[in-house]
Amino acid sequence: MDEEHRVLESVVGEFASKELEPINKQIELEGIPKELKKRLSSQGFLGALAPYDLGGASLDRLGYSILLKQLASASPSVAFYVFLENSFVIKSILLKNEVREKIGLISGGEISGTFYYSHLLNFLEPGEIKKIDSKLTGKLNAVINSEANLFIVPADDGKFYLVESGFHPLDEHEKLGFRGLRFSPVKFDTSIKDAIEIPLNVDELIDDTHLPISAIAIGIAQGALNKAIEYAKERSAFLHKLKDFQPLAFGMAQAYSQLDILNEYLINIAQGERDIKKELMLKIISIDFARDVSKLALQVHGGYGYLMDFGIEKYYRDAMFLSILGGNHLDEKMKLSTLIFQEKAGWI
Amino acid sequence: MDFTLPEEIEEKRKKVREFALKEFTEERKRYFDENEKYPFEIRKLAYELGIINFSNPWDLLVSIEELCRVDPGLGISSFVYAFGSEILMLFGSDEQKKKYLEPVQRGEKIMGFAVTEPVAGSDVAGIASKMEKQPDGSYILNGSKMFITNGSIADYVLVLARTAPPPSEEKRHHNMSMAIVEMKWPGVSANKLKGKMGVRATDTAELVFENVRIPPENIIGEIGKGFYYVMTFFNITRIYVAAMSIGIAQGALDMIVEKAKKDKKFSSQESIQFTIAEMATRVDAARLLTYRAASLLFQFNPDPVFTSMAKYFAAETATYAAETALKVTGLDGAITSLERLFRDSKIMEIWEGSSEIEKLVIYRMFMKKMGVE
Repeated sequence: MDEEHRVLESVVGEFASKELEPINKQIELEGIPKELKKRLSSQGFLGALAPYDLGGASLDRLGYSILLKQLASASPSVAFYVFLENSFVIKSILLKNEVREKIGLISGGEISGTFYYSHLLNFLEPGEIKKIDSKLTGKLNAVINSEANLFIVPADDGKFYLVESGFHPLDEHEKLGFRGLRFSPVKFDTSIKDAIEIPLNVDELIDDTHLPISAIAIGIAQGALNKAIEYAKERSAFLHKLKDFQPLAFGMAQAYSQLDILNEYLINIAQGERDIKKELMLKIISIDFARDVSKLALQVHGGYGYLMDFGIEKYYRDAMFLSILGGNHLDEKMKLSTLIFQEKAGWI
Repeated sequence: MDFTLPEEIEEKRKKVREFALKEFTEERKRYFDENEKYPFEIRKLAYELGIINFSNPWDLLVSIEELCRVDPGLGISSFVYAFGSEILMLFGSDEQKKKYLEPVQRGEKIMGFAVTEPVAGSDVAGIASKMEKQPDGSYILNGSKMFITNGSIADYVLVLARTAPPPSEEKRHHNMSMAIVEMKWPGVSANKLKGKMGVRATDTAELVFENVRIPPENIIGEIGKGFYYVMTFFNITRIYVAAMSIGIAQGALDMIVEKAKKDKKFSSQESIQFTIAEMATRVDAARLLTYRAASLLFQFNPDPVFTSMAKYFAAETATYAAETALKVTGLDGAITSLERLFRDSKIMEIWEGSSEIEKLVIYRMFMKKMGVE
């Protein structure tokens, strides 16, 4: 990693420990506060992928991965929010010249946006928006960041539309993870003249998320494991520190080694040419790893890990939610199998 | 070898399932989880309808399974009001049973069991609470307890404390005793713990004892035998935690089967079929391990190896099943009570002896059986 990216890693790491760690409980209970969105904006994080001329930070793939990883290690909710704004909303808006000015509002933290893709996740009841006469009308279920001011949503004509009015979020769903973001159905009744068609290729957009989702997964694992290692150095049982017991020490050492290897792989891929196969491989492995490590970290903390105050249980919940929102497992495993076998595979 | 349960127990299983499906509505599950409230009315109803029957252990075991299958938070709250009662049954005096145990069995009072401390969880012998004998024969209790089920709603708790220093490092488990402490006594305070990841309808608290005077008649059994009483108790309750875990695992399996019924594309894929096959196998294996351990216990011949195997395996099966079901059902599972089963399941690997402690017990007792001291 070059000096520039090292500095970025250090700056975001410091931001995460000073600005996110102290208010983690507030984020989980009340959502991401407005003041924090402003600070994320002033650091350039909300416009990480936006070009300089639109007020963005124009980060490259490695810089963006480092940003998400470091944020996720302290607050997976905040990392997912930054990811949603950049990888989906800003990237979609960039495809339509007439609405590019909205990027300044998003990267400035003045408004927030969301992008609906739950219907692509093998979800039985996503709901639907119908284009009827002069209106976009209907309901979508499982909308993440459903309190957004701007939505990019699919309609029954197969196109995506940007809408800024004529919607309201309904009561929240069960809230497994990313509790800093509202998660609920949203009802739409929007005039078609206020809806702007976005000419996007959703498959390409999703393919571009493999690397950032891997970065969030690795960040979750890193945050959970760091806390577990610290705890194992402090906590005693049976007259010894937890770190002195083989099963715990070996388990954490193994996880540390795997984390280091995944991290190196992430840096390597992010710096190289686009390679969908490697990105998919990394994503599938990192998400499983995040779930396993966050579970290990919770177990090391015992009963305390089960309490929100210790800041561990959120990694376990968020890692699971990331594995659900991070892509369609079956489709992606079939895709990876086909890439590896170089012919159709894994379809029975 | 007969693997069937008596007909009346299977009938009871059906009755409890019907009760849980009717009373544990989606609204109630969500309300008590979100608000971290103990469901007093549901507990009362479960008692009045005869859902909880402490006089027949198989009846209790299958009832626990079925209640937790639908909702662990409400399910556990329905029967855990008698937590610790086995200690009084086995080691309490007749007077203690009459004064403290009978009102619990009648559903009038709530009991708790206070062993874990802020600095001593799995390591029971590491507790620091003390009971000091006074010239008048009473004891003065000082110390604090952590993660105490029913802590802020109990009428009384059974407390483990040191009555003398340990004779040596190797014998740290000596000189501990148990006493019944009424929560209304001066010097007793409870602080409800909020923000648990799961089983949020159950009550959990931190207890503080400051110069609490305990009359001698409230000491349970013999002075200095407390550690043994606790281990005996765990040999019983671990079976019931295994039953809770089987309930959770079965509940998660139910959810994935439900999705498979609705979504033929989903169920036609062999990776999903294998996942269901693996999960169904593990749930059944956990149930068989638990029933064997339970059978020995209920014939007054408990085997700690089988008990710990059952608790360890069933708890890991609960988290495995909840994680796997949620992972493969995706958003369909995440917006239903499967999400709560996932959060609830993890505590099974932690309380009543973590998986690590169960493995230690299995190893030590297994090797003893094999003639290795």
